[in-house]
Amino acid sequence: MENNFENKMDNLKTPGTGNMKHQEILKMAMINAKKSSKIGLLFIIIPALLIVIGYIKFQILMRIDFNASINSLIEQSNQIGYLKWIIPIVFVGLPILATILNLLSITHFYVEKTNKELIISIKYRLKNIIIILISFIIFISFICFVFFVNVHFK
Amino acid sequence: MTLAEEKQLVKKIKVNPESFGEIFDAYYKTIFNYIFHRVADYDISRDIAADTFLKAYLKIQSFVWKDISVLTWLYRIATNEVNYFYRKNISAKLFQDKFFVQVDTLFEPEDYQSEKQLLENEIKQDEDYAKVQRSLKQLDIKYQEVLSLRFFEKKSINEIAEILNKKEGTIKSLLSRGLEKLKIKFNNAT
Repeated sequence: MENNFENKMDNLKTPGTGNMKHQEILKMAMINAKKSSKIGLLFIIIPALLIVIGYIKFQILMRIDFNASINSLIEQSNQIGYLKWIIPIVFVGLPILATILNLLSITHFYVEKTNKELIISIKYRLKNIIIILISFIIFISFICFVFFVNVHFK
Repeated sequence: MTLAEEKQLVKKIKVNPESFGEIFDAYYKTIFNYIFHRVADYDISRDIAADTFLKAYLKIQSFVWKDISVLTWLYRIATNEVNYFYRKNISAKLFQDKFFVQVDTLFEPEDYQSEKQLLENEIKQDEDYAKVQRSLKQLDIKYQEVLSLRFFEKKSINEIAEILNKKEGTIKSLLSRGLEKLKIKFNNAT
């Protein structure tokens, strides 16, 4: 009887997984998420490093008020050609790029044809989310700083 | 993939992590198959398979080659993930997953819906398999893993011992006792 059952189990037909396709999206998301977080990290390291070096140089070593030195830099950017585009690129462009790259790697878009809906889902991946937050903070800090400097001067 | 090819691929992945895609392409279906046979739920199987490969992807940098197939290593991770799933509060989890699965299926594209239905219908069509599945889930996890590897994945005693990192004697004993218990559950099942 035992052998009969064992034979039955040996001859048991198991359902196959056939032509599955869902794994392609998983593969792309998994392999790209790490790449996006590395590239994103690079994009925010540049502005973050500049802020830290600037702070150390002006506030600590030269004992010049950091805010005043930033104000002076922004004023000079109107006169010195290359500063006019470097500052927005470093403090606005790079953080935005880092945010977009990392958002793309953790978001998935599905189109539901019958109800004509676009569904967006966000995967919880801590590294990517941290980079998005840091990029956002750098971007918002810079925008707020520039805004309040201009408001103060007016 | 032969052992030699796998060894070369692991070296390649340590230099270029994107090459992990080759392992993914080679073994995803096999591992998903195994998980699906144990869990019999398409959405949960997808989640567990995703977790399995993500863990493998993250750990492969520290993977030390010991002449054991990468597939064996993946089976091991998948077995642990499935066991972890069962050890959590099963009824609450299944309820939660079923509820959220129903919400998710409203939004899943048609392709995934048909893939899911195809797989789950295949189980329903084969009464014997469905009965064995239901009976297996009532057994202790240590019997579930050996029985599914032996009868669903058609692995030998030696291969099962490698996957579960146990002695062959232990595997034989678990198989024998597990089969006895499964037979009782199967005969009592409706």
